[in-house]
Amino acid sequence: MARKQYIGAKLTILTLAGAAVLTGTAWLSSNGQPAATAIAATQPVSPSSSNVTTTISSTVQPSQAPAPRAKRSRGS
Amino acid sequence: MNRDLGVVAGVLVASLFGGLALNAGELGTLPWMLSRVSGLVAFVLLSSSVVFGLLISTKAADGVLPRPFVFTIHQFLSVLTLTFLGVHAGSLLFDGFLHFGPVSLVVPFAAPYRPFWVGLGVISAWATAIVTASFWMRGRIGQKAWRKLHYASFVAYLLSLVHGVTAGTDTALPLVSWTYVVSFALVAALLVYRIGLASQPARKPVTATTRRRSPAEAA
Repeated sequence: MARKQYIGAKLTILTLAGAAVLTGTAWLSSNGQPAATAIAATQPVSPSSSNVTTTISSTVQPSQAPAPRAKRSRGS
Repeated sequence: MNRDLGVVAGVLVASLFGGLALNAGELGTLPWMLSRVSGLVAFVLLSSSVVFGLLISTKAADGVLPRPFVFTIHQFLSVLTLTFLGVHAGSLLFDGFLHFGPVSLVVPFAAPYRPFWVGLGVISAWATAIVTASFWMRGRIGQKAWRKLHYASFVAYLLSLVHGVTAGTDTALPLVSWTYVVSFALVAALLVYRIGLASQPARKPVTATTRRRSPAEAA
């Protein structure tokens, strides 16, 4: 009897964890941001780095705009 | 039956990575999303394992749950944490943006993204793996060494928390930030209770001895 309870509890935990991953991944796939955007959003922006970004955006032609990679868009 | 569960979990993880490898070119952001979610689930599982471990050492669950049951679930949660850590790290191999390699997943501070904070996560994963493996080495290394080794689980927990907060991109989400807060509050409260208990044991034997001696003294 105890063994059945143990197995039941383990299966419940396994199912909950698996369901959380599947649901979370599905939710993020429809609502979440891709890696580049998500990482860029969490980068701490200092006044000096924002100045650099402004300088670059004012000197680079729109046709030469860099790919939306976090590191490149921040001018590092 | 435990082996059966392990085999089922192993087959599921192998199928997952097999599917990822077969469709590597068309996955888009799926590995990235999977890594984020599985990392968070692994953190919740690790927190639960630590909480269950503290429930054993503080005896806080005695009378509510049988101790062998709590121990079995504590051990199972540790194994499951490692499984989801494998998914968390392994899926990064298939991400087309971050360019993680096998070495950067297992060697601390070698990651291409936030190397220090990711490195703390790698150390935490290794510590979790060692503590989990020690469940099956208890007989060989002895109870005292096993207990001392088990203290590494607190280090693993703290490092995983710091890793999640600093390297995770979802910390700002209310659900995620509250998960961190509730987890830390639970672990900290039980740990303080545990430390409080550890400073008391000298009193109990005295009381027990006094009770035993009382009849003799009366006689």
